[in-house]
Parts: sequence; C-alpha cells; structure tokens
Amino acid sequence: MNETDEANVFLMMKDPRLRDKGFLQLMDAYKEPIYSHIRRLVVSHEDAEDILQETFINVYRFANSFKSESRVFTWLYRIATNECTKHFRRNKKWINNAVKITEEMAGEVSGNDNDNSDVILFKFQQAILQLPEKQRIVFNLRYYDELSYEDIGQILNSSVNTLKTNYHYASEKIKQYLIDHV
Amino acid sequence: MKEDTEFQEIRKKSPYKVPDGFFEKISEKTLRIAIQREHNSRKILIALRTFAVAASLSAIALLAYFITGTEKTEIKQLVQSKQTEVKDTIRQTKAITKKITIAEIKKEEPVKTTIKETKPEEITDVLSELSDDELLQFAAMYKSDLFIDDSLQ
Repeated sequence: MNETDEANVFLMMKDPRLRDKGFLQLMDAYKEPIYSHIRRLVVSHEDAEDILQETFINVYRFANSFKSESRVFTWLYRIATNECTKHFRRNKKWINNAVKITEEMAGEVSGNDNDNSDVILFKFQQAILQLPEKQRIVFNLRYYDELSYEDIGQILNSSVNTLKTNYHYASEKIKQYLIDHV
Repeated sequence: MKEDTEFQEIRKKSPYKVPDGFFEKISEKTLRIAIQREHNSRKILIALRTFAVAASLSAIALLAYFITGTEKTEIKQLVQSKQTEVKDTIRQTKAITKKITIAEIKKEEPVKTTIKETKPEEITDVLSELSDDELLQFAAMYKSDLFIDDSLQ
C-alpha cells in the first residue's frame, strides 16, 4: 500500500459510512507483516492472534487521531510493538512458554527428514529469544522486517545510534549462541 | 553493508506455522469485535455519565441536607438551651417565691387580738367620775342647750 492509498484509506475511516470498508482495506494490506512481527516476538499463535486483533481494534478506535506526519506502517508497528510489550509485562512467564514452543518445534523438525537449515532456523529463533527485550525487538524489525533505522526510531522512540548499538550487540550475542549450540 | 552479509546461511523465513485460513477470517472477525467493543464502550460511557450526574446530584443533595441539617440542629440546640434556661429561671423564681411566701406567711402569723368585753357605761358611773366643777359646767350646759326639750327640764 503506497502513501496515496494509505491517505485514501484514512479518509474512508474518518467517514462513518465508509469506516468499516476502509478498516478492512487497511487490515487486509497489513495483517500479514504485522502478524509475523508479533508472532516472532511472542511466539505463541494464540497470543499473536489476540495481539493482532488488539492492534487493529486500536486502529479502528483511534484512526481519527492518526497524524499523517509518519507512515501508516510505522504507526501500525508501533501499536503492535506496544501491545507486545504490554503482553510481556502482564505475563511474566511468557518467555518460558515461548522457549518451550520453540524447542518443541525444533524437536519436531529434527525428528523428520527436513533440511538441516530448518534446525538452524529454530536455533536462530532460540538465540533471538535469549536477547534482552529491546535488542530482540530491534533485531526483529531490522533483520526480518528490513525496516530502516529511521523507521525503527519512529516505532520505538529511539535514536538511530542507540538502535545501531542495540542491533550490534544483538547480532553478536546471536552469533555466540549459534557457535555454542549448533 | 556489513549487516547484509550477516546470517546469510539462515533464511529470512519465520519458522512458525500459521493455521490454515487464519488470514482469511481475521479481518472480519476483528472488525466485528471492534464494532462490538465500541458499542459497549459507548454504553459504558453513557452509564458512567449517568452515574456521574447521579453522583453529583446526590452529593449536592447530601451537602444541602448536611448544611440545613446542621442549621436545624443548631437552632434546635439553641431552642433547647433557651428552654432549659427559661425552665431554670422559672424553677428558680418559683423556688424563691415559695421561700418568700412561706417566710412571709411564717412572719405574718395572725396576731391574736384580745377584745375586752366592756359593759355599757351607765350615766351614774359617768357622773360619779365627774368632779364637782365638771358637774356644775355640765348642769349649766344642760340648761342653756337649745336642743334639749324644755319640758324635760
């Protein structure tokens, strides 16, 4: 969805008659990348589904307050990331659950005749889960979603230098984990 | 860029599986929940506003009750204190009056007056008490008295 489409969708969402239609268009355009971002952070599909819904419910409620100073996708990522952070605060044991799910999936993959790269993929996820919260979010946004540091800065309210440092430390820790565990 | 060469051997693919048909249904489902929640939040908002108005009115009524209640109590207390004062004064006055009356009554006991019973004076007794000169004067007056009948003389 380009900037013109985004602007049109928001115009539709501000019109009570076209609000629902605009919402569906916006959600259809962004649900998959936003879901993937959430899923990588919380791991559990059920939690990811709940957070995805909360994210777009917030979009539905607060579409009028959206300022077109930033891009829509950064706004969506920001809401989704905030919802994930809330989830982490509410469920202190979420990380144990996430590690358990990843280990189970890794076990299933290694037991089958799958490519070795699938096993490495899960090890890579386990390495990401060991990271501190901020580094994990920055790494996911940069590595998987391929967002610029400027966009990540808007999403997380951080400076580019801080984000670069976070990413650097995160990638170093992941490399070390892979060396130790693969 | 150094970052681009990192983790090249690892595919940028999420290893987590998504249930079949999940993305087809999620948009409509989320919209339904969003509409329902907005409807509920409106209801809650109306309820909250109603409650706030009711609470404000109750607070005002309660405040007014307490203010007038205090005034009434003050007036009642004032009336009661005044009544007590008046009652005390009346009681004291009565007590004083009683004391005075009893004392006065005691003081002013009826004096027993003894009336001496005297016998009516007789002319002979009166004449006997008169001296000779007085008798002479009396005789002279009798003769010259205009109001005494001459036939009696």
